[in-house]
Amino acid sequence: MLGVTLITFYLSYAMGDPLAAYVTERTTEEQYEMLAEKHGVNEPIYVQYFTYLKAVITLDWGYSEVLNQDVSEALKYRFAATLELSILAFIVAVATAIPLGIFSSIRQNRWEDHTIRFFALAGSAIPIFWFALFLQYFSSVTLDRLMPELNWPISLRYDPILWEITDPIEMSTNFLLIDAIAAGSWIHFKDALQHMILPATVLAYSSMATIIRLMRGNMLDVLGQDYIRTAKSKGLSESQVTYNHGAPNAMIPTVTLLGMGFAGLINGSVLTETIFTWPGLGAWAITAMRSLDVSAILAYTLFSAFLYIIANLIVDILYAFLDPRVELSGHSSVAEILVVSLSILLLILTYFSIDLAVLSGTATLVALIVFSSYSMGRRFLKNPADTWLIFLFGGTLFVVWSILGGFFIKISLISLILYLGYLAYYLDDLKASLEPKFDEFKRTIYQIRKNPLTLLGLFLVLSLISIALFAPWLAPPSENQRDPMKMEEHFQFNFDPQPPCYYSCTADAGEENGYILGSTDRGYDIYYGIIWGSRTSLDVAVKVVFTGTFIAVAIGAVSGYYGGRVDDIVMRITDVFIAIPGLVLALAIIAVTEDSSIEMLMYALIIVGWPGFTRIIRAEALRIRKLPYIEAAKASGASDFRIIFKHVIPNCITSVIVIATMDMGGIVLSLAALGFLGFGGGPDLAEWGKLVSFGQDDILLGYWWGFFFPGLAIALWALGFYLLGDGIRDILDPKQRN
Amino acid sequence: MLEIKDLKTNFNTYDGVVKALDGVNLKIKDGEIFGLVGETGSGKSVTCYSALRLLPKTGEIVGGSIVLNGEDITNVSEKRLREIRGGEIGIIFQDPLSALNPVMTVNEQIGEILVLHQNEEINDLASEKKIPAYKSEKWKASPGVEFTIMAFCMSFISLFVMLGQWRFSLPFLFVIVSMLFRNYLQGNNSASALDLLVIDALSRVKLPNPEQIASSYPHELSGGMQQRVMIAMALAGKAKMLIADEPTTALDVTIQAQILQLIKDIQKEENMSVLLITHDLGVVAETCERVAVMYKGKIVEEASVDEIFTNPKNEYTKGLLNAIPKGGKERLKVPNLKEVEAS
Repeated sequence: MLGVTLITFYLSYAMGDPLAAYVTERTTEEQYEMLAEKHGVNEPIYVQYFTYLKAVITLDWGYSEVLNQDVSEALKYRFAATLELSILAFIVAVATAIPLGIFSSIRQNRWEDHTIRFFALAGSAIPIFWFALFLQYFSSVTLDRLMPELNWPISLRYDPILWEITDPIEMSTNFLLIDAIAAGSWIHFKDALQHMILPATVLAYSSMATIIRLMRGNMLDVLGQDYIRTAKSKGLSESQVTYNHGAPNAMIPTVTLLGMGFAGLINGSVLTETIFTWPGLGAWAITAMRSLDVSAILAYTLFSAFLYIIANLIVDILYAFLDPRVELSGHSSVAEILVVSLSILLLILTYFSIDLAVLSGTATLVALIVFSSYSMGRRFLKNPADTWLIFLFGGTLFVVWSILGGFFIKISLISLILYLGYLAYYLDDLKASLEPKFDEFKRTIYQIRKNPLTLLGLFLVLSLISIALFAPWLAPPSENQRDPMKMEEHFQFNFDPQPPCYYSCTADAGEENGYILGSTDRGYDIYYGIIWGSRTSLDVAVKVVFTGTFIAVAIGAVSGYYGGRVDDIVMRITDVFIAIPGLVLALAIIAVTEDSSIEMLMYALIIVGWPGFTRIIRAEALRIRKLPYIEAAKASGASDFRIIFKHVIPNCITSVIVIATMDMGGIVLSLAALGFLGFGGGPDLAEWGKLVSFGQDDILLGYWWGFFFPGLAIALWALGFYLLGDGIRDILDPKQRN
Repeated sequence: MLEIKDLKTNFNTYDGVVKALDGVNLKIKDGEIFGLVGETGSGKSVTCYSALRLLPKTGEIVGGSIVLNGEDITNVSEKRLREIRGGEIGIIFQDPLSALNPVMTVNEQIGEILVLHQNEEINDLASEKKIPAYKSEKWKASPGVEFTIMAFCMSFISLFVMLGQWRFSLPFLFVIVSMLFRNYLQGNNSASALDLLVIDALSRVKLPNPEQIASSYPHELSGGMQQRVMIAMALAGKAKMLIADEPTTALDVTIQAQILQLIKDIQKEENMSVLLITHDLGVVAETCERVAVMYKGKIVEEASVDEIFTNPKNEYTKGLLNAIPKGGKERLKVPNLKEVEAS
């Protein structure tokens, strides 16, 4: 079954991709003519697709103009670089995170637990690029001052003087550590490791954070199980119970997510490699993206999808190894076998004759469309009550459109007023129904007070939102500024970054008399940027999260509840999106449309974000569907519509709230990452990630404020929402109440 | 054998302190089957968890004492308590599937308790039959733990190599190598003394084909077999007392009868004491010699089985007995709890 889904997914993925790449080509005129001839763009699109498919099978992946190299050739070297880094980071992350997670769960709600949880949340809240820059600054400036003889490397994979000039050794595998061992050279080994440590730390920390949180949660679940009590009653000591009975059981769900974690590492490597100029795939993808190098972008996306498949395969095998209840040879449905054999047939056909493949491919597609529309139509005819599904999706579309169109606020205000009127009309009923809710509310307040981390999160979120609200008072724009969201540039060639003056500034908001938190080399006031940047972040985060939630709840609930074919299709689609690293996909969208305005960033983030969200909701709906009370509702004659709205969605709402809160942080992180890479809605829009990238240029000169303060703002924002989300989950989870 | 004096257990919840046990007095003699009955929430299970200090984190013993064979075990050290658990008192739980660890084989789970409490016997048997005491499994942790150990060793090796002190990484390298070649190093895959004792324990509970059951996982067994494995596990440490916490609730009626018969048989053979917790008066009438009735964290009546059924003294007991469905057209009488409390 595994292979089945993977191959179908691989195909569907490949189908979407070359189109995007060719659209990219249309945007640049002079390359167009040349490439049109080469790739046969003038042919119909499906012929192109099969041509492309054949190229992929025959390993002819094109020629990269940026590198002046064949893509397959470049891939070999760069892939080794990325893989070496990711594997090291992954080992470090797993080896530290799992013991930490276990330890945190045994010490639940004590200070050790709070410290580890804070550490873990900080790991996912701190932007990767900020952490990387911080380490770079630390090792190049601070460490250099303390121990000048150390000369710690902060970029590249190896010391070119050593490896290429003074003492060249054979690089047969391209894994430098292995090559150094093979050559028996200690100096080379040490050099390669030294270069690896900083990027590996950066990569490891962010993925470690997720694993710690997962492991802790799973351990807490497992420790409440009956067999733990049995183990205790046998006379086993506390540690034996934890490590022999608790940990192996908690490992099972953790391992299933490790594959995703590894894919996440590849994703994170995009930023890390860019900063440390590590010659890996990620850095290459960014370069390719900036110069619209089609073959390279294509190869990169294909390749990361391939890696994702491999990681999932390994996880599945490991899963069967860890859990005796699971067997590798699972069941597979007839439909899936059919799809796979068809895809293999198509692949073989493509290899021999493109024309024939085009013909049969089109025929299959037409047959599929006819069949699915026939079955859908029959379904609605047979069961007219199901027509509400169309309305559900229509309604969702309307809401999403209204959010993006900007009049969602008006609609929600009107409905709020209507609702308040309704409540006022039925005041007595309201009072009666609020009685138990009030008790619940008191309980919630009590729980929040008990949990210092949640309080901290709430405080951070509230203060950041109030900064966004009171921006005009905190950092008043000057009179000649047209748009307060746009920062003012200092028109002076070779302007030196000004150091922060904190309290001793003479003017109100900086300008010529001093910059409260310093300035960048183009004269942007960092304080002003941070204050107004919070508006950008809030705006984008709220819109993206609301839209994403609406899409995810509608699609996820329906697909999870109905299961079967609908579910299969939805899952394959999300698979395609998830297999491509999110950042790269967002960049590709922006690159294709050649529009890096803040609205485009928003669309890109929604497109990237919805699949993960939908999957969680779908899993939740799938779980609820099997619960006895759904059976009971069905037995008492409730319609599907009623069950989804009255039972499935309200029961998902806990996780929806938690994920939405967490995503408020996550979206800002992605937005900042995009801004950092130079896609931040125009050069002068107040945006945190872009400010960090301005600060990056001066880092080696010791101008630390340029990257430090905006990064801190991003980190605090994300941390606040993560802490709050985590706290809400603890409070809303009835199992945690005692 | 086991005496519980004025035991008080509280649960600290958000809504305040819940007094689960409010002065429970019990005395279980050597070699008798003692029944503890009561409705759901009356504190039966809490009594037995308190006796072995298996309460969840929120529970707390606030008063009274538990005396086992003349020894007060209310506040004994953790070490002594672990000797008692499994070694002197065995316990079986309601739902056997959730009470057995899903990722360990029956062999491993029973072997664990034998290693803890029957180590001498294992060694004696090994030297008598000239076979190894433990199989290679003794050195084999569960896969998750092994994975963690490996990953740790790898990271330490790389750490020391990085620091330039590669000699320090040698012990970790040794661990990894020996883990990889463990099976070849140990050789000898014939049955060990531990295996024989596990099979012996399984045949004591009259399981057919114990060799095969020993190597299977809990989910591969039927409910009745699982409960027999649970009983085998509770008895493997040669405990002189068995606490059975509703052992038949999760099973169907025919299996129930078999399990109860098994408990009775074993009790006779080994002359054990059994504390049988149940809400099923039929089970009590069938198996027990003496009975205590619990209500709201207190023992309201304690007597022999005959006496309880023929001549109940307490109002609540009377109500409980009246609530047993009888044949014929007689209406079911449910005890009026307000009256009971008033009396």
